[in-house]
Amino acid sequence: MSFLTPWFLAGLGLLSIPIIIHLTHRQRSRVTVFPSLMFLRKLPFKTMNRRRIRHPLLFALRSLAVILLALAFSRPFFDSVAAVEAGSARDVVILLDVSASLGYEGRWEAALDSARAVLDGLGEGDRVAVATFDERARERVPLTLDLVAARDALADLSTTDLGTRLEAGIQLAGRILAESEDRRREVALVSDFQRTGWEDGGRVRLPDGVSLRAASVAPEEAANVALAEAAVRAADDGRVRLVARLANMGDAPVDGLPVSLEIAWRTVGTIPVDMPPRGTGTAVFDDLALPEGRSRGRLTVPGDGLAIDNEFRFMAAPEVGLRTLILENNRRASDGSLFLERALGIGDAPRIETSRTPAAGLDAATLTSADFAILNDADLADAGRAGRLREWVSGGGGLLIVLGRDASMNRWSDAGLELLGAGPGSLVDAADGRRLSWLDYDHAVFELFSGPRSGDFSGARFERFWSLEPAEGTAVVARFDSGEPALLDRAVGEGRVLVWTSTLDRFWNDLALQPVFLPFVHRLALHATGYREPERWIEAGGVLELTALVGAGGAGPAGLAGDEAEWVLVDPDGDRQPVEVGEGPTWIEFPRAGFYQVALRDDAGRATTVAVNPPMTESDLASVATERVVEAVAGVAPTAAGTAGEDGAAADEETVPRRAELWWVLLLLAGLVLGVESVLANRWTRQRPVSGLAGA
Amino acid sequence: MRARIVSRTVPGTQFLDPAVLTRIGNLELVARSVVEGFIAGAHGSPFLGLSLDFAAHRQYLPGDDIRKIDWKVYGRTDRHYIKEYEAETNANVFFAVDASRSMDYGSRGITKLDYARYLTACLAYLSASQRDRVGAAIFDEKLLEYIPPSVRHRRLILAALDRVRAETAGDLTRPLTQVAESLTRKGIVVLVSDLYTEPKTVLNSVGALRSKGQDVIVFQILDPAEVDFPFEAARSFEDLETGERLPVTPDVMREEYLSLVEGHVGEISKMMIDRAIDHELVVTSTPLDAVLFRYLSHRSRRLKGKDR
Repeated sequence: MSFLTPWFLAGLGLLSIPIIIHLTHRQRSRVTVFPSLMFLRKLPFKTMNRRRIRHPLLFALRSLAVILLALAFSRPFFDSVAAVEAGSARDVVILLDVSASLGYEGRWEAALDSARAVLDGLGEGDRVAVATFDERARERVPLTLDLVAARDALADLSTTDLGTRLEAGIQLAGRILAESEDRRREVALVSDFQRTGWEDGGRVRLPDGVSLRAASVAPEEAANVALAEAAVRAADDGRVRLVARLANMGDAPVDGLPVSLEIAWRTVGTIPVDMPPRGTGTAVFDDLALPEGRSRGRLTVPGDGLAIDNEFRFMAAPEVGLRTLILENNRRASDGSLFLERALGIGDAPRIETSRTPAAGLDAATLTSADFAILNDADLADAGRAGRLREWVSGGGGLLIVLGRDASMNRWSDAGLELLGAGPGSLVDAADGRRLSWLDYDHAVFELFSGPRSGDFSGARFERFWSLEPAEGTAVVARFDSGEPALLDRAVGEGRVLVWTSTLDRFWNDLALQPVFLPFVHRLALHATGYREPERWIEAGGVLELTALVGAGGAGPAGLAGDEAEWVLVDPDGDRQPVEVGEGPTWIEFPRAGFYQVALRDDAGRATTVAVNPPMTESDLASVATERVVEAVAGVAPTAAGTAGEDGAAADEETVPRRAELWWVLLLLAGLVLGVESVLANRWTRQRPVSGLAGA
Repeated sequence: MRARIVSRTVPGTQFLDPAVLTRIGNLELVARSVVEGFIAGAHGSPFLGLSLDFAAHRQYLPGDDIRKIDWKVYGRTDRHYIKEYEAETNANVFFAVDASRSMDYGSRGITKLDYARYLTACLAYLSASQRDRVGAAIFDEKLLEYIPPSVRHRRLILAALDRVRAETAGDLTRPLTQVAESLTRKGIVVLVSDLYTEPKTVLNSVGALRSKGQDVIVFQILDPAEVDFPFEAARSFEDLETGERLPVTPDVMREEYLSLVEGHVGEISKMMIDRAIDHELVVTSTPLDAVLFRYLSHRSRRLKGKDR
């Protein structure tokens, strides 16, 4: 048995207090003046009575309670570790943080020094394992007596471009030591204890009997500026605007920081940026003309403590937007498309360009130049027009059919009804008004509105609409409170047809006046066209599916899984490695910051580039208190605080044993003993006054 | 035998509570209030059996002995008149008051010394009002005040009682021997003390007076705490006179203590009776009227005996 806080055993000295008080202090503390002690002096037993213990059992119980309390506070423990004699063999896991934030100036060297110090402290018979962690944990050297191997492994380590997940490292260290028997087990954790890496803290615990020694290499103050994002937005005349966003993670303001932009290896410009302490800033590069296709872009700021986030890579491409064609009823001029056109024209992610044309004059050439078409309150009585639309949709186009007063569904051709995905409908005239009562919030159109306070469709009042009977394969994603469908969705070939059974203006309903109207029509456009914002960059450690990658590069999906298709991944250093393409999806991981290329080995033209940046979380160098980590991981409070030196050097270490402690058992026993003592004391004192003190 | 406490209260005189008297600062006022209240409340006149020469008539007052009504005057005047007589001889009353440190103890608002003051003052007032010669000695281990007996010394006695302070330990033998030697005329000696000394010493001291032919009345004054010993928790007891401390567990020792006190008082009382000395144990919670009654009874007996 050992004690965590043995100095509390000095509390056993308390045992002497009741005796001393009994014999001396108590009588002196209460003095009664009396005329004469003539008679009292004649009482022969007076002093004997004082010094006699009247109730030895009570005295014993109280003494036992004091002993138990003193032992409880000294926190004794038994376990296999303690059974090993002091200085006996240990199993130590050096758990080293290699995440991107360790690249901050001086941190990595300090971390290595701390790890080597652990090695230096090992004695004969001690075994050591080396493990590292960033977002994932890896066992570099299994438990071994060969300290030289461990030292060599440390020398070969370097930081990565990945984020921090402390719990992964703790779990691995626990697993390594789980099978260690009859040896003292320790984890020496060396990290900068980034707060962002401890978000899941407290869920992992080391096994019982494993002690944790934590060394922090986090500097007290770390100034750092990070490039956070590059957003490309379309401007006029095919030019674009690039907005670079920066974050100042330090406590000092940043003035006139030059932000440079390169597109396709060519420096475009430099803009100074000011940022408040712990604030953000933006650099706007206007009127940029981008080359055809996807080009490599790079934002840079001058070097600071953490170099890895001073460069931001992205893929830039001219913003084409969604070309939208509004097909109107050509029998009368109206402003029926006014609300649609205005709503679609707002926003730039993506930019939606609209144009109107009479539905009657629709030809294949007009459709070819559009990504999205809206048949707004027009009929499809002409089978040829319906056929052209169907062909265009099958080829990947997105069509929204809006049924209004001029839809004249009794005149629709079969081809038109087939495209509609429903039988000819009947007009419902609801003078008392209908409301949308059911929306499929799992559907892509309404998913945006699924959260609380994310949009209220129930405010719109519908006085007229077409009641349709959806055909097989057509999904109803919204209904009126009378049960009739409000929105239908059907896939046709590569494209999609959506049917809105009322108008998108003010004639039959007031939805156009509701706040949800604008996002609603945008969601209709995006869903109908299957629009996906191009992936301009990903975080290090991210994965992409090969099909999506090559498609994004413009090479098309054909031939990916064929025998002749042999893909290679070219990393930022130019090293090539084959991509194994199987039957299912092929996922490619991008572990480092930089530009990767995925290309066909024999066809350089079929290649796509991926920009990879370090996780933004690594730029936030704020650290969590090591005491908190140790307490959560080891389950007990640390015995000493670890702090970082200003120069980032290894901080004080702390050791927290985690063992089967007995303090609570002793505390329980002490309470039990005191309870028995109270019962006995009450019973005996009720029977006969007790002289003297404390049963003693 | 447990010491009996004198508590024969005369009806209508309950206002003579000792604790109440402490609020009256003037000792003479205290004495007059007590004595006059005591006399007015008594159903019978306290001045019994006096051997006096006729002096004058006075109108009958309630409380006067109807045997003293002059029926001849009543026959002539149809009114009740009392015959008044002039004392043939005045008694010599001397008060010996213990003012040792142990007398300066009081657990209920009045110390034994205060009680002794009031008692002595009342007795002196009473005696002086009966034209007795009054004198007093106040002592601890030595004589602090000595006032020889005289019919005009009542105020001197009250003044001496008023200024005395209990400061040192007491002794009976030496002061009382001095008193005995100073008194040349036989009379009544009233000793007021807590008698915190061995019974034999008390007897020897009082015996010196008795051997001089003095009629001795001993009022042994004790505090209620001394006769009940109401203490519970363990504590140290400090001797008022010596400062000595003794750790005591009262709840355990009470019976033995009370037994010792009872034995002490009983032994003194027995020895006094053997020497024809009147001994009264007075607890300071006892109203003064009871003590005055006791005194007057004693004085009456003594005068009757003398007449015989």
